[in-house]
Amino acid sequence: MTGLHLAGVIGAVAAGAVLPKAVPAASLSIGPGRRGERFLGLLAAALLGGLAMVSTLGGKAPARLTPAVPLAVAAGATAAALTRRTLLSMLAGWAVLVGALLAGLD
Amino acid sequence: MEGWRALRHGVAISLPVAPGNVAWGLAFGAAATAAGLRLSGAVAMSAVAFSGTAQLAAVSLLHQPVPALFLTSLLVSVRFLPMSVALTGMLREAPRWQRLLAACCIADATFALAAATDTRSPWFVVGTWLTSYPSWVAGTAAGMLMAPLLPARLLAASDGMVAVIFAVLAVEVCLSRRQAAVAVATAAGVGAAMLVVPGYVALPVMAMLAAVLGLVVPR
Repeated sequence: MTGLHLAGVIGAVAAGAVLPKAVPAASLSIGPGRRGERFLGLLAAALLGGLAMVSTLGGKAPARLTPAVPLAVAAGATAAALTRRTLLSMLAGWAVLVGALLAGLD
Repeated sequence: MEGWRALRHGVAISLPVAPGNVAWGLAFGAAATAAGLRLSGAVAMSAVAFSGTAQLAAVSLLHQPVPALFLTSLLVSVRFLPMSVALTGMLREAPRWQRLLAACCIADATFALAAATDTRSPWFVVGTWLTSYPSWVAGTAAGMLMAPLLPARLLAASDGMVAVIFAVLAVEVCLSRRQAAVAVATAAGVGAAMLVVPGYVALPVMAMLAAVLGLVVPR
């Protein structure tokens, strides 16, 4: 691969990743409003729920499931629901992940 | 002064997410090595593009024409459209250039942190970027250098670490039953859609659909 092709690849990947972030921010003006506020709150929750599922299943189609990952996700989510402490909940989830992987659940 | 405080808050709150970024960077670095990219090329890609999924998609298509790579990157990054819309709403009192700067700083995890804290400051988002950007680039370099030494289990764990981060932040952002129902419905919809399409394609569609339904469906 030539340096020029690599530069083109990097430019193309960067442009494709930045455009969807930049276009709404540059073009939208969202004024205050109860309905708009509610929609954005729901959208944020929807995106986070979806992101959790995508990363649990590994992102690709068809979905594949590594048993250790849903166990860790369940542990982290349960800890977050019970304690509302971010770092503690992440550590709980990661501890379960490491334990499950060491136990061969991969 | 307010901006400086928000920036420091963003840096501090994103520190727990840094190990996930490093692990994800390790996975990309190892994949880039397997695809034949040199260290300088992979690090340059991480430094310029700052997008794990787009970069992972690109390394499997390195020898394709550049327009095909652009379209692939755009497709796997479509999920940032609704994230940027949501962020624009959160930062509506900030000047447009600051909203644009903050939008360019978002990645999945930094958006998750911004949403979970319901921030109103673009400098908070820039602060989260100040932690996640170096950890992503350093993870890439480490992944390239250590690819032959890394156990497959550690690489498999990178997805799991990131999944735990999103699950925890998803719980934290849900302050009402309706938000929780929308989050669960999106997760279920994405899980079902992933039987046929990649998750990052299904995500923006399902998220928008669930949010609209959550808004219009009566109690």
